[in-house]
Amino acid sequence: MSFSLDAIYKNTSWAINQHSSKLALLQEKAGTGQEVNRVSDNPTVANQILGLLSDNRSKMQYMESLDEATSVLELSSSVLQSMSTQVANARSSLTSIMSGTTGNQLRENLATDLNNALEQLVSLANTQRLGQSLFAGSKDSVVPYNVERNASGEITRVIYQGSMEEKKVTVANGVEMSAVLVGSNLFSPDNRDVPVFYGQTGVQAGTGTSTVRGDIYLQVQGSAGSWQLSIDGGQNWVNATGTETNLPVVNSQTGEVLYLDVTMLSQSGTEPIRVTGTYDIFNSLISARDQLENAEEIPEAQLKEMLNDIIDEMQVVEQKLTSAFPVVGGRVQTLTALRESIEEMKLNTSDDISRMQDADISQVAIDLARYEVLYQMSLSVASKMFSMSFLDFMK
Amino acid sequence: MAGYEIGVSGLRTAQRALDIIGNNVANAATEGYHRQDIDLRPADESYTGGFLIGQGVDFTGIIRRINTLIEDQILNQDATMSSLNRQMESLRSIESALGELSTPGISTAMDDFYNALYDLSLRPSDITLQSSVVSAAQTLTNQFRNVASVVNNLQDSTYSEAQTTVQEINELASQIAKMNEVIYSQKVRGFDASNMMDQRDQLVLKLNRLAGVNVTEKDYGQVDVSLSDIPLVVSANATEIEVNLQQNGNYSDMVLLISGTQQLQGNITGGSLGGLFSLHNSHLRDILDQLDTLAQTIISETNKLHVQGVGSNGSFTNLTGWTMGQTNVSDFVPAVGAGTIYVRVTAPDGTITRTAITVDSSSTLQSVANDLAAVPGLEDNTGVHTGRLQIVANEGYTFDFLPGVLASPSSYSPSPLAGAGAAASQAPPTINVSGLYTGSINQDYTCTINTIPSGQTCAIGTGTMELMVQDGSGSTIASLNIGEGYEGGSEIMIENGIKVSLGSNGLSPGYLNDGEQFIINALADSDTSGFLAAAGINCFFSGSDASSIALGEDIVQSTSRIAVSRSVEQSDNANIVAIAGLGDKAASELGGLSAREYYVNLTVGVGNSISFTQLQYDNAQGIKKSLESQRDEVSGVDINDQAMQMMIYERLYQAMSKYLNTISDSLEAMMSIIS
Repeated sequence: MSFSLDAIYKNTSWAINQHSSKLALLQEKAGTGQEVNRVSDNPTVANQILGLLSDNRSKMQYMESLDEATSVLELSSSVLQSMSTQVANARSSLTSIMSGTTGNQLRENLATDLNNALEQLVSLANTQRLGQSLFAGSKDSVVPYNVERNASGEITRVIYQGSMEEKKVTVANGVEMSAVLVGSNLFSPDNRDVPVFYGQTGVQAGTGTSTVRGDIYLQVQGSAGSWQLSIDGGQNWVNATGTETNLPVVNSQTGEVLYLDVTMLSQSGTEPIRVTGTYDIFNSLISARDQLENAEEIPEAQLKEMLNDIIDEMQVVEQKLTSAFPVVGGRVQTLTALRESIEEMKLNTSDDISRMQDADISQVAIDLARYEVLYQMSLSVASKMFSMSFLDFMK
Repeated sequence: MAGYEIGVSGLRTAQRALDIIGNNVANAATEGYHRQDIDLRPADESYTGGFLIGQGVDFTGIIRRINTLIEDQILNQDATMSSLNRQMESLRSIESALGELSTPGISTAMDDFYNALYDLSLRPSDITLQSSVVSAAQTLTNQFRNVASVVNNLQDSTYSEAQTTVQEINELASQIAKMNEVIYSQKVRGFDASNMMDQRDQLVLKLNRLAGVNVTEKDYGQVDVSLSDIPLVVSANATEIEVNLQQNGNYSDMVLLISGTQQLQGNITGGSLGGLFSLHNSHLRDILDQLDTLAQTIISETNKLHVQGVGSNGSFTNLTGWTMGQTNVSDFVPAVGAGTIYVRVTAPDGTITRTAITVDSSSTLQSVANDLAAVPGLEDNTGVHTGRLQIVANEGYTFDFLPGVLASPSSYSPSPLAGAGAAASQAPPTINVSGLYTGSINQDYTCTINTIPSGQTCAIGTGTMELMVQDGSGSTIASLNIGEGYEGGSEIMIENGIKVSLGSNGLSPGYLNDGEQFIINALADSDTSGFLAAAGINCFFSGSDASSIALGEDIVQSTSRIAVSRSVEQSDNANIVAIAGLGDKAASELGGLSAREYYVNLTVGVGNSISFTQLQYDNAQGIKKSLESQRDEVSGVDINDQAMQMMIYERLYQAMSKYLNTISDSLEAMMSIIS
């Protein structure tokens, strides 16, 4: 078998090219620390790595969403705590004043305190974080609670203008969670009871389901057979003959309806009415404040009874607020657990990526040494092959 | 004088042999050289003195050591390697452009874009988050355009390279034909043409690397060369070829023609030209096709949702579409089908009306514009201007294409509802519809009042009164109490997120009569035709493929135009959540894969092609190396072997010289005796 110069050259060239390519690849692996630097290096593994990298980026986003939602809920929890404290303090003050002798000055002072507490509660209910209202539901770009004030600047009505829908955000694959709560659901108990009548007019609750909330004052005028009734300060008078068992009286300002049984109606006057189970944190304080101020000049006995009742309502409201803590806390806990779980999954995914993509540096070092030796050997053998010739022995 | 003849034949033979050995050694490093050996035979005997005595040695010719079978196989492997190598170069360029794993590519940009949308869903009116979405979208569109540009440039350079290659092929074919002619003339005259044949074969080898040709040997050392079906070289004649582009659907195919004809030739697969054909007509096109499909899907699916939503600034006062090349909607891209566009117009007093506009195959841009201009509140300036649809609200009006439900029922029966009488205190109730419709089809919910006993008139919250709700198919889906126990004005859930509340109306508690009806129109899709997205109205992305994808002008100018909401309250984040979800949503256009999965498939496909091509190349290289070793055994020049032969012929020469001297001396001695 003969070896031509061309064959020796080609063999050497091929061997050197092969080893150079290997060395270049190993150099790249050593430089980047990665076994797979481009998809064509190992398409199957690259396919998995690309999927895992995408998963990891999604998990990063989920963790950001979770952090955001947790921050919102934690702030909400803190605000709810403050509101609960405000209501508890107000109730405590009202209870203490009711247990002793109450002078007008003391009542006025407490009314002022309750008014201040009300202002603070509205302010707390309208708390925003990064321009996002905490208790406006999905309508979180608006301030959820709007107030109406009387001539002296006191809040007479607090109106919820947020959304009744919670705003849901995606916090994990297929998992949605509400971070912005619906204030109306948190601050308003929804166990409407039959209206309670404190006056002497003789009217009673009708069979229909009324929509009035909190304290209202029914004005009755006229005489037997021809009565007029109003719940909006006389702006809308409803006629009654005294035979109606389910007479709707509509507040022309708010649209609230009070169904009355007027068959026992016997005298005109102002009838304080309370609908238990419909007080929220705002109108309970408004009621308490107004009763302490007693602008309607309600007799002392009735007033005391009403104040005692409002204390009970405030307790219900406080309980409603307190019941929100576990809801919010539960969500925070869920989110925290979810975050931990996602973080762990992310770590595992990163491990998988590292396992598949990272180069085994010691193996790379060994391979580098091996191919270096092979490279040198190729050169050495070629040199030997070229140097050995029969010509050397010819004379 | 036979002795002289024998001596001279020996000397001549040794001289020629040394010449051939010299030629071999001189060409030991010449690429494509085939070793030549001297062909000797004993000269014929002559009858001398009653005996047959040999007359020395005859030089019969030079043997060119060649194994044509091996040479043909080497040619095949060489052509394959050239083709594969050329394909690999381009595929590696694309892989670098895709840049996954090593640098952030489209995959990362897609993830960042969809993640930015999810971030925005947390605080839809946050300008910083809106800007992040715009930034991420621009990165994504830039990535698409960059990769598409690389592939398009490769397509262009492939074509121009093919043209250059064809010129080289024509030049080589012409040279081979000329060499054929010279070899023929040499051979016919009985001269050796081995070196010329080697030179010619080197040209054939070059040609083969360019185009992967078939070689047929003929008499007198000539070869015919054919490329696909083209007889490129026949004896001393060469045929010129040219490469051209031919339209094939949306693409241009690269085709091979015989110059001066329109005769298309078969597929070219071998050599670098084969590689270029394969790249241009197959690989690059497939990649571009997949990129375009992905970009088109992202554009159309995103826009389909985006056109229906509104941004943090709410409804629009004007919207301008793209410049449309076509006027018939049936020619629009993406395709527009028969369907309905529902446009919502809000009057200055807050009254909202929803108008349906029908689109069918006979519709034109102008006819739809005319229909839109007929919508109350849009009459003044809506129309087609310089090929672009402009929808402009009248002063004080706004409009949008929000799906879902309107705040009021779409119709009443009787209309208006009768109430308990004509007095203000006997009016029917205020009916409010709210909620985010989550259904998947457009349908009407029919709500019928049922009283017990029948025929009653009841105020809301009194008596025994129910609201019977039927869906679009007529099935009863709910019977809701609105009599005693129902607190007027409170919301009751119907289905798919739709809620209804019935409450007092002015001075009336709200009276309803048994059998009265109202209908709630719920829309899952406010443009079932796809016209708005095709015309560029309130679109997020513009463009139609990977080369033209861009962010909509309106979005670039005002980030608050990102359509985050899709409920009529315009306070939700449902639209942006839906758009963000598209990244993981399977699309039929993508073969049932999500955008992310499809792109990973594309990338891995390119990687697989490179990997497979590299494997094929390595195989071909291995085979070629083995064949070259075999060829070397047959045709290679071994210096040692040649040196030994040189010694033999040197000795032969010396011996024959001695022999001649001896003959000469003998004759001289004999002559001296005579003289």
